[in-house]
Amino acid sequence: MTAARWGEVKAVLAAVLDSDPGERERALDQLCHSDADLRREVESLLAMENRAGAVLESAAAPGVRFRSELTAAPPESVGPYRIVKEIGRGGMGAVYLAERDDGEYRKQVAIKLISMGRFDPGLQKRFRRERQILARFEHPGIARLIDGGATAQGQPYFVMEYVEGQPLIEFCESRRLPIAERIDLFLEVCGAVAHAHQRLIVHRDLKPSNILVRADGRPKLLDFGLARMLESGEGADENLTQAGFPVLTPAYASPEQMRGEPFTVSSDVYSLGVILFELLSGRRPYDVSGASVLEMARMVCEREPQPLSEAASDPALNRKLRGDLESIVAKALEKDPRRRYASVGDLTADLRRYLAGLPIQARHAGALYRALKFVNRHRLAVSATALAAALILGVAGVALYEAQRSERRFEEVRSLAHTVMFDLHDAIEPLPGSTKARALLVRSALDYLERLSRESAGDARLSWEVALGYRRIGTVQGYGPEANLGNTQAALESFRKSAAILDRLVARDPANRALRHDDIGVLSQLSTAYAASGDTDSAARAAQRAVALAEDGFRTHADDQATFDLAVARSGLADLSTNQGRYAEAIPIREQARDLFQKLSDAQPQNLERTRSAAVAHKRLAALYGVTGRFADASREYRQAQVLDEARSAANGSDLRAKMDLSFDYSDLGWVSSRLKDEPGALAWHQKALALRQEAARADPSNQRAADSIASSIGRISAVYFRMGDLDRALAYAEQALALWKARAERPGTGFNVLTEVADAHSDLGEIYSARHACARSAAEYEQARSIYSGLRERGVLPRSQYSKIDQLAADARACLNRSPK
Amino acid sequence: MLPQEFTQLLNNWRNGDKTALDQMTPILYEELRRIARHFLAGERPDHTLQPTALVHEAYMRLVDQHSVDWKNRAHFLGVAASMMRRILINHARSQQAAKREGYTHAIALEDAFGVFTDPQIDLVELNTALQELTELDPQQGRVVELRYFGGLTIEETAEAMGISPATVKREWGTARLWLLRQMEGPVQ
Repeated sequence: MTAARWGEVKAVLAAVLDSDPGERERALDQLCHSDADLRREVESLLAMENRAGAVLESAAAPGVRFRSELTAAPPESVGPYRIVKEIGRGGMGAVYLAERDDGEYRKQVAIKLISMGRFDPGLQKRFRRERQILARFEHPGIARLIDGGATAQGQPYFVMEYVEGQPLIEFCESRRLPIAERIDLFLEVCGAVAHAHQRLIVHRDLKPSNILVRADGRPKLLDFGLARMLESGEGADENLTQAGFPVLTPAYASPEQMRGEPFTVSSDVYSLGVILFELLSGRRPYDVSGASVLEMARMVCEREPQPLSEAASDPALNRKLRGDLESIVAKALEKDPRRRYASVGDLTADLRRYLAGLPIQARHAGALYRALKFVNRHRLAVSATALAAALILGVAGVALYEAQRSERRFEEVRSLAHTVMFDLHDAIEPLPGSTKARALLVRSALDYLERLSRESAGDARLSWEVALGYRRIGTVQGYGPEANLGNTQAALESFRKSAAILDRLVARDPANRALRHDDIGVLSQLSTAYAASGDTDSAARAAQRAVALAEDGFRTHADDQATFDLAVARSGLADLSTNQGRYAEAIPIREQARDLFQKLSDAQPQNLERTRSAAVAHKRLAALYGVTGRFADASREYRQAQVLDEARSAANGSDLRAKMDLSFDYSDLGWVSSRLKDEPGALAWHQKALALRQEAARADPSNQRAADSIASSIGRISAVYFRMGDLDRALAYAEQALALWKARAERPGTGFNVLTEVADAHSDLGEIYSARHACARSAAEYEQARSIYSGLRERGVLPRSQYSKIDQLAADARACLNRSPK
Repeated sequence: MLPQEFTQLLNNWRNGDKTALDQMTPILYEELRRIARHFLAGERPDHTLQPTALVHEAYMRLVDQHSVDWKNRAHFLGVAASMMRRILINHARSQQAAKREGYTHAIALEDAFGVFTDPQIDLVELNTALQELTELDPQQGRVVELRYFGGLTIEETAEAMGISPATVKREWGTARLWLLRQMEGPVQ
């Protein structure tokens, strides 16, 4: 095509594009005359219009919209509300007009559907809490919050009173309101904000678009309390936001908000100052449009705002704004909250003075002092931990995000996600209150990994990492004794996903031992999670699968790792049977596990951890023998454990854990000796146990476990003396045990277990007195025990299986009296 | 470089000094890159990052606010749009190369600009088509460059080129269809 020809084509094309769709055919006829080539050319270009859609729209390119939610079509309904139409859109999400049909009447509401973040499990809870607060205050100038929740997709929403009106600035501009009337309107806004402040509710996101003026001229504030709800987490997590970013509108946010510092009512005063500035001059104190957030922050935090009068372009207006109004606005916009108006009330008081022609306070000192005190009173405490966690989260998020958008995204995102999920996670794990941050970290890293994984369906290495990511998040969501979010159902789901991926990978690459090791580990966690949820069948299936995998591995390559994996997998399976009371089933599995642990220990006798594992394996088997009445077998296993633990203790004399372990061996040997009718032997074992425990308690007086076990040993010694017929000694030891347990119960943090120990000690004494025919004392002790147990039942902490104990103790109390001659 | 110096370069360029553009290019390029980084560091992930915002901010930083008039700004935007085009095309090319050769070397400039890719558009292809259009119709090619790569509005484009907004609108509308057809081939 020549330039001249294109000129022709272009002219016709432009004309046709300009004409109405119905007229195009005619326009083509007219413009092309008989030039069929020209017409074909234009038509083929016009055809592109339909095919192109939004492609090559200047607004859509070359920037990319990353999140589709923002442009998604509105839902048909949200909760019980039917969406009528979209009425607004902002940083947080979209606002819809909606109706609720209650048959009787139709109620119109505004629904704000939040799309700024994702994954905020705490929001519902915060919403319920905040709603109670928000429901308590009603003010004609504040739009009521009616309801809220999350959609089926987990998107949070808020239902608010529907307000028909014009945004504040537009309202004033369209009516060309004079300054005095603008101030009157502003004072009404301030009244509503002050009302909320008196109830300790801050807005945090005040801006003209959040203030609608109705046709009757009354302003109404929207979104009160929403920012706080969206922003703040639970307790220590205050300030840690769902996406790691605070809710704010840069043009109206105070310097302290920009810096991420604690929010005070003074920050609302600042935002009101910006609004007043704009209301009076038509401009904002800083021109932040088109600036990056960093730039905006710098402007707001460092640069002095231009004086109000200078912002007014009109000389007449400029004159009016100079002087008092300028001082008032400047005082509201002070960078240091302590130099600002201390409250909205102070700001309005000064404006009223101005309107009345009285001298204003803004020009006088003294307010500083009051402001200082006020701010100190209201400053919210934020733990350094939560801030640190939020910071890490933010940095990690940005790093991931940048990496993903970059050229080297694949390897980069992967290694970053790995760093975030493992290194960062581990780094903040010891911080108190970091659980939520950890969950967010892992979740966000996992999101990236999942996306990569979808894009590279065949990459086993990546799938593996995704699986480990699920395992991580499952552990944070709710597994084991480490701090977690307590969401065991979510944890179960995560472990299941992890195991499913690993199972698939293992099937594809059965020779990969590291992969197998991970799969076994996840299956064990999955089994535990199932068992905790009460689904014992699934728990057993997962445990069996772990054992089967471990057996495969052990058969093909019986190195230490494979041996250990198999031993652990078998222990897990045995635990399941044991917990369901199927002891006979558990015994052979435990025997196999014991052999494996013993083998590992024999291979490396100097490895004390292995020695300990072997000792534990012996003891757990011994306990199973014990409950099934095989006392001689139990005794043999306990002896094995004793030998191993004595070796540990000898190897390291200061190893208190080894000493405590050994004391339990002795104590268990005492128990089994009694069962084998060897009471003198039992006594000797219990005394050995007691001596060790006393030694451990002396070495570490804060060791509660050692202290408790001393009381327990003394109780057992008392019982042995009782069975040996030495009632004096039995009584002396029993009283000592009771005294120890009672002292223990006095300490803070006493649980249910300690109280039952006290009760049982009373019951032991009752038994001894009964044997001595001291029936009144016996009955008194039994009664003490009974009242503790019945008290526990009333408090609802006593397991149902122990209810019968209460009646039994009452019967025991009577038994002596019935038996003894009057 | 001080804003005054940059403003001087801009004025020189406006007055016909072609070497001024070469001096401005690396400065602007670096500035855009820096700003893009800041955008990424400060924004939420759902933020739509448009070149317009970058370009305007670069202008704020580089050009002496006290001495410039509207014309200067329009010219600056024009320079920035060419720059954006260069950056984006470089990025697209290196991405393709990286795909071919494996991810062997990092591309230093693109780490901040990876965001500017519309998945529906092959920028290298678009660039070729735009070069062809520019041969046919230099004014129209420039309109596309300013609108698409610089993210300039109709008014800004008109201002930068010294033509009427109506003309910009017409040029843009027809160019868009021509480019699309050139890239996709005619309708079967």
